[in-house]
Amino acid sequence: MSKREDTPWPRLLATSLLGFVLTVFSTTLFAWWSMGALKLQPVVVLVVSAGFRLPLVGACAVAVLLGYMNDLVGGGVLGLQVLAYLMVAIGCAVAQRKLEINSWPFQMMLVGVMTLVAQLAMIGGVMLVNRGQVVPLSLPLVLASQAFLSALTAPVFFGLLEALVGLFSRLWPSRGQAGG
Amino acid sequence: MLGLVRRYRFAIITAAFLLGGLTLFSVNAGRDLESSWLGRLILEVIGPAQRAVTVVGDSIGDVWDRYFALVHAARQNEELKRQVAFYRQQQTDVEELKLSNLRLKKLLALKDTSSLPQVAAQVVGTDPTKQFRTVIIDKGQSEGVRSQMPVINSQGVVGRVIWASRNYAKVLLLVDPNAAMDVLVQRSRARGVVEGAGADSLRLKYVLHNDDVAAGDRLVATGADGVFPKGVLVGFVRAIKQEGKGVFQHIEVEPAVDFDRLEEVLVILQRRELDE
Repeated sequence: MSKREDTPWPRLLATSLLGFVLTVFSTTLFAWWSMGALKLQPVVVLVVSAGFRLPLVGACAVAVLLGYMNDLVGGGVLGLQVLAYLMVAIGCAVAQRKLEINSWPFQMMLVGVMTLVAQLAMIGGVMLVNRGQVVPLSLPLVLASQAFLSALTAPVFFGLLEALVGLFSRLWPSRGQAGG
Repeated sequence: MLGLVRRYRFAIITAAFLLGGLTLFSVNAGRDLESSWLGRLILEVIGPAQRAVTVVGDSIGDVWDRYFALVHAARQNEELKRQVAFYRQQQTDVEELKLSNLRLKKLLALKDTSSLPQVAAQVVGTDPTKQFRTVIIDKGQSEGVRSQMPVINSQGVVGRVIWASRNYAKVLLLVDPNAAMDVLVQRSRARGVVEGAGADSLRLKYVLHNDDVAAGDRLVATGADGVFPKGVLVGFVRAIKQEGKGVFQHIEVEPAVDFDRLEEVLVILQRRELDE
């Protein structure tokens, strides 16, 4: 089985649609179910998946779209999450040359690491904008816990995305049908 | 030339996207910008979906709450009867105070904040990250909401509008590290600036060591920043730390508003004009 599908469009559409739904849920359901500072942040799973399974331009476009959406509904500075997700997507696109993410333990590990990367990028951005901001002592623990939570729930969202990609692929006209 | 582009395609695409992201971030960092048309459009698409999820969630919550309310209804009824008697007396006292306050206000020619045009809004979404504290409300430009307008609720100052699309707006909560406002200690009239310290707390800055501030003091808006009406409750002094030999005191403040349970807010339809 090749790493990438014949046409990237079903995956691109499925990732964007699920990204929209998860962004809405992130600001409503998942925010209500938060455990203190810890919240489900599944959007990073979609960016990781895009980095591995979409061509570079598609992966970066998904990262920009999801980052911009998340910057709009949350976050203080427009562009911060765009940058953070771009770093994740590019990191995954580089890793994709040597690695596969078919096994769920590896998916979990990678999402955990990439959650850390995204969080650190965002904190870095915040520190740049608010120079006087004091970093709480509990920050490393919170970051590690958030990464762990994201890693733990990653297979669910990977599964959801793959199901949606499968559905879109079945509905998508094949090359023969499309006259190719 | 084409071969060179093909050879370094990955690096070129990566650099182009990162540069674009960095530009977007640099342009927006530390500025109060009016929302772009694309941003407004996306907010108009996301807003109804957030609202739908919030309505469904609230309905389920209501059913759950009513069940428990019935279970405890009898016990609560007795307690409420006692409270009603107590509050009736309090209401009389408040009416008296209100009347005397009105007389004093007329004397001092103070502006009555309740006469300001306001619009009630429901919180339909909260910030998914923990780095920022913002919410989305279901009122926008069509109701007169614009960026920089103050947002309050029955408990006190909530924050200010930073973005508005046609039917939705984004509110920067007072606890966000980017938020700040002028306040005064109600008891001693000492002035300072409250700013968000994240994690549902505030800090009071620029209060001199010899200013009279004590734990439990109420902080109210000065109205000097031109955003928040004078006298609106902001928070309570939680602790004062005497650190070092600096000019100012280190004061922790507990916000008056419970930011974890924000549901309905009021947007005051007046704003400070953005600096050019």
